[in-house]
Amino acid sequence: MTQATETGAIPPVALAGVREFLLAKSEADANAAWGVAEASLATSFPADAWAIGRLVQPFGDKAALFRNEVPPDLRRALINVGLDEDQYAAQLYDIQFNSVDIALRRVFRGGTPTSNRGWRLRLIGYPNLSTIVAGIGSNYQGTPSQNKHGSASRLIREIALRQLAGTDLAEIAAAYPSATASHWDERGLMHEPVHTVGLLDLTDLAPEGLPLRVARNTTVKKDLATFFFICGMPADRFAAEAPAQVGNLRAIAVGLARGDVS
Amino acid sequence: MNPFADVEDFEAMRTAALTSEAELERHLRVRAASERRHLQHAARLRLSERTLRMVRLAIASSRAVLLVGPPGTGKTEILSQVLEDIDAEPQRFGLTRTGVETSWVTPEEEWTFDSIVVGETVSAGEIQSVEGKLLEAIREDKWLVLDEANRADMDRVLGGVLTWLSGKRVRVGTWREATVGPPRTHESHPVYLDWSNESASTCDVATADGGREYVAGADWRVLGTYNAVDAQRVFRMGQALSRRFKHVPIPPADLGDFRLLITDFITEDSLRSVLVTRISAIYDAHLAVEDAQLGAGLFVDMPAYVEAGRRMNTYDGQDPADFEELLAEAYLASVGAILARFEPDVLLDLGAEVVDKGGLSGPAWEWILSQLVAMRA
Repeated sequence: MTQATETGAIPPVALAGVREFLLAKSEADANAAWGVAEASLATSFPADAWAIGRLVQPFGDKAALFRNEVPPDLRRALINVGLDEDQYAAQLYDIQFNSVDIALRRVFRGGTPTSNRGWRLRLIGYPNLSTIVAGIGSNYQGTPSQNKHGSASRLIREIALRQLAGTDLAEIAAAYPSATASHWDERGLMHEPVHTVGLLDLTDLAPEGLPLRVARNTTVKKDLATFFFICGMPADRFAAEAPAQVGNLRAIAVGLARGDVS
Repeated sequence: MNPFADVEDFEAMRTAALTSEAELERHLRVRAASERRHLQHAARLRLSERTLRMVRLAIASSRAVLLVGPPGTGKTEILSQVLEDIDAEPQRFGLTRTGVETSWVTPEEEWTFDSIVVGETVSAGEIQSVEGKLLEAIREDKWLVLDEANRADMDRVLGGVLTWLSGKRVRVGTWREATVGPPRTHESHPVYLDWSNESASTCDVATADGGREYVAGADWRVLGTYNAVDAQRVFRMGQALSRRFKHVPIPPADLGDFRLLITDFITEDSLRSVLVTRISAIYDAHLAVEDAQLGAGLFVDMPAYVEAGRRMNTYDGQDPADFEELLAEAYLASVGAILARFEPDVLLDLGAEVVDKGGLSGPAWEWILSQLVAMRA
């Protein structure tokens, strides 16, 4: 699945242990998986050029998801089968998401990236939905509105494509959309329907598949809305798809920053 | 402009994008204009390593240096940059001082010896001497920079210090001042210029023989820029004065460098190829005519004019403005004032080259010539 460019194929990225980290269901599991993941990532993102950071984010109030995020139709269906908000919450893993941020040092003055400024390559895993996001995003400083972030990301994507115009990467980057409500609310990140959230199998209640919102809070909406290049993949396709996808994103990041970085 | 290459540039773009699409476009236009100005500055500094070495070594080894070349070659910017380099590392240039301060002046046509050495004013009804730019610079131990020295008759301005420029002590005038009375009297003191082997320059207003002495130190310099094709005024420097200065030629960029350079000033992808080709052809025509050679800095605004013309018509809902007309106008606006001063035979040769090389069409060149009349007024 490597992409060919005029200057040669884009090398895939080594991601041993990364899936295990991104989809870890507890902090302990995430911490245990990180060592292998970090070492693997460092081979494609050397520390002199890239800064790798991670975040393990538990839920604050899982019960609130049932009240505020589960679609009304689905919520009614769950209530009809005897599930309330506490029972829903009990069926979810403690971790809302695990993420890896990989920033090009040369973009940041002093070579030290900060999470609230600039842009970076990002991987986010949502263990309750066995779904992983890969992309390039900015940050959600400046407004609480995910819709404004989404609009800005669309515009930033256009500028990014202009920046890459005339290079081998233009066509590759054009295949990645910017984030929209379909990604942060609905099923835009899922290639195929996902029927299980946490320990709950909802195939009968949601045959069309579950939207992301059933297992994410409002901060995740804003966060995802900052992606100006985004793709999703299910856990069972990570090993097959992610090395090439992340390789593409790495090449796009280098191309955007206009540097030859190993 | 690449907003992704720097976090602050990116954040400024992101903030504009969060506001609205219109605000983002406005932000990008403003940044592009700012980038053009920056590139224009950088353009003037694009010179060969050998030329840069000549500038540095001439200043390191000589009391008086002139950078000489056509307009648009970045003489002022080059000198400014080299002076910054010297100020940062004076020892590298053989100086023992810790830094370099400069006094920049632009000579004027009416300048005389009084302007640069010692002049007079009237204070409280009395004639009082005043320091000219040269004496002031020596007293303050600042290097004197005469930017666009061709604007004044330097033979008249500096003729009285020719001997001093050769390294000798010389009396340059009389210092007159009124004493505090009563009774009020007037005093006159001879004024001397001299050199010292010490690093710093000094000024002694009461020497043992009653004189006023300005001593330029071993590390002191008088520098200048000079172009012989100024649109408004050129005073030729006589041989006697000229040989007191080291002359460093600052030639125009070669065609290959110009083509690379002009590309950076083009923002519209659809116009990039044709603008590079046509403007480079015009520049090449100037290179081909010895008396018409001009620096790259004079041409770098041409793409912006053409792009603005196309954009304005589109904004007004009209058909795109004629490219050939815009190109000729851009050329006239950028270089016309200098073209107007060329001799007829130079214009004749230049016009043939511009048309032959495909820079402008014959009718466009004729139109240019017709407009030069107004520029000579």
